[in-house]
Amino acid sequence: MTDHDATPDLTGPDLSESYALSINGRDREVADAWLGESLLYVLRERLGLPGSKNACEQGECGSCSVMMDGLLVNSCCVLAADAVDADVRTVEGLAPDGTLTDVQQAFLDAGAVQCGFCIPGLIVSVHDLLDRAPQPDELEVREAISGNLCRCTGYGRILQAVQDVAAARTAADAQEDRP
Amino acid sequence: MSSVMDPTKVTYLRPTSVAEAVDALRTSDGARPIAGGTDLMVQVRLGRRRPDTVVDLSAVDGLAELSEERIGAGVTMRRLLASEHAAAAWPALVEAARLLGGRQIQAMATVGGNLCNASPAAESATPLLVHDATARIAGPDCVRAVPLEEFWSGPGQTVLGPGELLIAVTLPATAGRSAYRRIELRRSVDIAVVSAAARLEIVDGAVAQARVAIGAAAPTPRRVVAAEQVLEGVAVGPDLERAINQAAVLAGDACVPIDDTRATARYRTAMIPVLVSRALAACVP
Repeated sequence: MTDHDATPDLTGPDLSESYALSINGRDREVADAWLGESLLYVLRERLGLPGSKNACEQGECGSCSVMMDGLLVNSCCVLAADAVDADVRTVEGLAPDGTLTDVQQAFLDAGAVQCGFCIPGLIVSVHDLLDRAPQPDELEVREAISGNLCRCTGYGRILQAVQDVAAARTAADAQEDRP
Repeated sequence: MSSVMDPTKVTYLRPTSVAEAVDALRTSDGARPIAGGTDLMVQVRLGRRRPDTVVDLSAVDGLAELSEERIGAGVTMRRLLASEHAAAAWPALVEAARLLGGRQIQAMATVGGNLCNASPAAESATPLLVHDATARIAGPDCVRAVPLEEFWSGPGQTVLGPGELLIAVTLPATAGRSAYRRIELRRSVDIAVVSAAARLEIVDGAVAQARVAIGAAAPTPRRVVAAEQVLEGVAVGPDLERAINQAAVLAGDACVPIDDTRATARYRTAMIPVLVSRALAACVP
């Protein structure tokens, strides 16, 4: 310890042991919790949202990928405190009524899912990619999912599924644009 | 699943100003700052660091400012990748930011965190060295400036004293091209086996200023002044090609690498000249 004997009060009133997170557009109360927990831990263990997976818990595998204020992040490396006031979107928020998104359906159709553990993270990453770049080339797809490790598939069918969605969305847009 | 950090053993503090952050870091010798969390959360999880106090810098005012001659410690790799000024002024740094982790890591990892984690392989280190960066450090008594090449004292170690915080790096306006090259085992989301950055300012057909820095080749990222000296004053053309070869050999001589899981010391020493010539060649218009 230094000669500073008084611990400064830096936590502030709204960062106490109960706080709110905005998850998938809903305010979720986190009660009696410590702000030094990871966002992943809070999602899975406190809020009952196990879609974001805990695989490596060291920022390598991307299984815990979520969107935070529009940016794709590994929730295992994010402090819960830093998610306060942020707009957090998890894989659960992509298909709230249980109907699969086009990306999810394309993964199934292409046979891109084997053990499945990496898939929620990949689905979040691919939605992020296609929102940014509706018609990505293969390099863009590979770059976008480079932070998501799949140890089963070899990625071939995952890459195919992404291209299938991009093509289907482009075709649907063309249909809509017709008079 | 258990929480990465144990609330009974770790105090969490969230200062909102640099002065508060300095105070918070002084509350304990075991205090560690946290910004993006991409290194510290992993180190805590693996038991490599056991901070008793975590000082969250994400709410500290002004730390994430990015301007033409200053990069706040809280600026993320994603911010650098989105900055037109960074791409034009510091190309080596932007190339390095693109290679640092995947998109998830780039969104959170900060320049300050990358420098303070003090890995000899730190992606942003050698590019900032060739752009003559200065570390701006806030402390209990004053703010001090340290040339970046003097910022590290060993692997994982910096010159930061108790209560000191890296708040920014400042960069003089530098001319010429810069480039970053590295060797990795896997194209994406991997740590450099060895890396090199270079910058050449060419005026009237000759090298007016040269900078060469090497990473993962010594206990800290380092500049190779001897290599820079053989380049300065040399005319573009065959003379410069010869000087680049000489500079590459001198950079190899400056290596003091280790054997680890990624590569042997011998391999690293052999590859540094290759990377230095590639980086220098990319700086020649």
